[in-house]
Amino acid sequence: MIARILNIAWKELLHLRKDRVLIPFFIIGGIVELTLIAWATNQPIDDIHTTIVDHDQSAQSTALIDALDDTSTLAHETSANNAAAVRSKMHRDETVVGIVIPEGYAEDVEAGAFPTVRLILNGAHSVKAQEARRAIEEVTFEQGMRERFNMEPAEYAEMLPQISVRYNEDLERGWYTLPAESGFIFYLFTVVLAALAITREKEKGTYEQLLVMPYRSVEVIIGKALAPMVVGFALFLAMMGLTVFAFGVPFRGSLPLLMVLAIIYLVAELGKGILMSMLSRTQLQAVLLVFVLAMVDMIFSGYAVAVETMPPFIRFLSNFVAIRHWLLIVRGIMLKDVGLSVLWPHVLAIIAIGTVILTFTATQYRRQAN
Amino acid sequence: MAVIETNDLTRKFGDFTAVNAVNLSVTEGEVFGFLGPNGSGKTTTIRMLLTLLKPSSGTATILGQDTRRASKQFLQQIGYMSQKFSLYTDLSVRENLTFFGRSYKLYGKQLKERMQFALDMAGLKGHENTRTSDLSGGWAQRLALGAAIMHRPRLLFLDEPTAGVDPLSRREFWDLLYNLSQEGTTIFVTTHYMDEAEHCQRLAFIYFGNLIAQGSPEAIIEENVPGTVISFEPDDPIDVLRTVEAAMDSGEVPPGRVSLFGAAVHVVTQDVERMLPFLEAQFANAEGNTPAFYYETPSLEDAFIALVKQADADGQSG
Repeated sequence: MIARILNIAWKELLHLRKDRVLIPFFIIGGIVELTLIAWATNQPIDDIHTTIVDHDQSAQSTALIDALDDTSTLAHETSANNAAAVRSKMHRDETVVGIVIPEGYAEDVEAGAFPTVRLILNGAHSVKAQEARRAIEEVTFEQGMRERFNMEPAEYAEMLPQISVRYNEDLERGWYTLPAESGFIFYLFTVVLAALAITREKEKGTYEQLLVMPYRSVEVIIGKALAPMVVGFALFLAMMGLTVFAFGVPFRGSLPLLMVLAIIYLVAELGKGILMSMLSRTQLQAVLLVFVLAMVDMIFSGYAVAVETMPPFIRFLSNFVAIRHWLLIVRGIMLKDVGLSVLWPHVLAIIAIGTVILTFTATQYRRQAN
Repeated sequence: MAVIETNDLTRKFGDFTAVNAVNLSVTEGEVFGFLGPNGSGKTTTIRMLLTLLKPSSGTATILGQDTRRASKQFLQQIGYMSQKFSLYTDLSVRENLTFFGRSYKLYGKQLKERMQFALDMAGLKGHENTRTSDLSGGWAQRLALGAAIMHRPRLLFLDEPTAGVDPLSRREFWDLLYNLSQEGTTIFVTTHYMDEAEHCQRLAFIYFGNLIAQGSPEAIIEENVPGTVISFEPDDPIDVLRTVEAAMDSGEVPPGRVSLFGAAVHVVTQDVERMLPFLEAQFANAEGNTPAFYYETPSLEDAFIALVKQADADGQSG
């Protein structure tokens, strides 16, 4: 039985080796994708275009503007005469942040009252707007502490919460996205390869020949899954290497554990690929099906959108998507050095999902063979 | 001993009956031809015999095994070659043969030996590393046959194996089939070509899902073309055809069959004495040339035209 499975796997590897487009596409595509994401997530959100309306024109208001300008987040680009002018600029998408300092700002500060500064944010750029709001609140808080209570930073620091960030000390976004992206490319690559495995034969007309050979369905399925598994695994190792050595994401956990879990995860996803392959008549159909599937999986994976903020029912459904568990495992091992004692529910979930998919795939194959 | 035996083998797709109560019997060691126009149920029948498709009703027994209960193991004794030659075109000659051989449990020395045999047979020695897509039709066809018989199957299915291959290659291919048959392999072959059909020991003809004839070519001809064939090439064959048909219907001449064969008209009759004078009379007063009349041995083609006409007539009256 093993010799027969290996015979099919060998033939499939030959197909992949002779295909001059498929493998190079995924290797180059994977590297480019990772590099772009590493670069993009490394860009801090800085110099947000800010328009200031200073109705007060006093030393105090100028001090406030300077303090805002001193933050790396905001860049005082233009001034305007009134709030209406700011809104019209936002309408034309010329600015993200508007700050209106009211008349009498200096007097209020002198008198020890609370002067109100108006902040207008362009919510269409939600990430930048959030970032700007945080920076402005920080500046006004510090100003208030100094002007109103005459406190130095060292004094009011005691009032602030003690923050310690674990696992990703600098809250680098790349540390979050790059392992997930590697995991996702790994997923997409192997599922696409598996999906092509049977449709390739259907298109060429060799499928019937294969069906009349004395193979058992399980031998064909495993044999056909083995080749994408080997190639996919090699690609995954390469992506991991790139993530760690080129983009500086730490690898703190156990590499052997991650490898073993990667194989388990792979088997579950390959079943899906082979299933797509059986449901399609042509390779094009199979690839399109995989992409539809990948989009759904992507949403449930927690990679692009946080699963925690989804409605309870969707959150519940996401438990049945293997890639969600897989990405948690990758991040858990890489960044947090956690082992099976923590990850076991996710491992069990992947095994359960994989078993269901593979059983269904094998039944489908047997049904199609008849 | 019957290698293939079907009993009212039927396959329906929804309301459509693709194969209707077919009873086939193929004896060990014979070359059995399975004929029929496209869409007549040939491929559906083969798929049922190969266990790729379950019969809606009826049974098929292949090498003593009921196909409904046959394990995959029984396929070890069967060879199959389809009209697409079923090779992996991106793989080389050697890679294809290795894969086929190992699929049928040939390893090591045995595999090497049978690969040599297949290469010899296909005449592809020295081309082991050629990509299969670079082979021309005839080579690819012989390689596919070699791959299909590496494991010495007892029963070989060939689904239109000569489609799209030049006449010389076809000829060589049939020589190979005879050799195989001589060595005891039973061959079940479908074809469109009548000359090939005449080379089979026994034939079955399927038409719209119904088996309308089965037997040796000679028996089929004798049964369906009783009498003599008079062949001639008139200037206006259609006109003559209609005249003769009318005369047969009215009883002016004894009943028989008349059909077109290219530019020629074939008249099948049991009573040449009355038919020939009638035909000659048709041209006596005409301005055109009087054609020469030949007696011909009825061919399979005559038989199948008769069979199809009969089946169509039955279909209309039924």
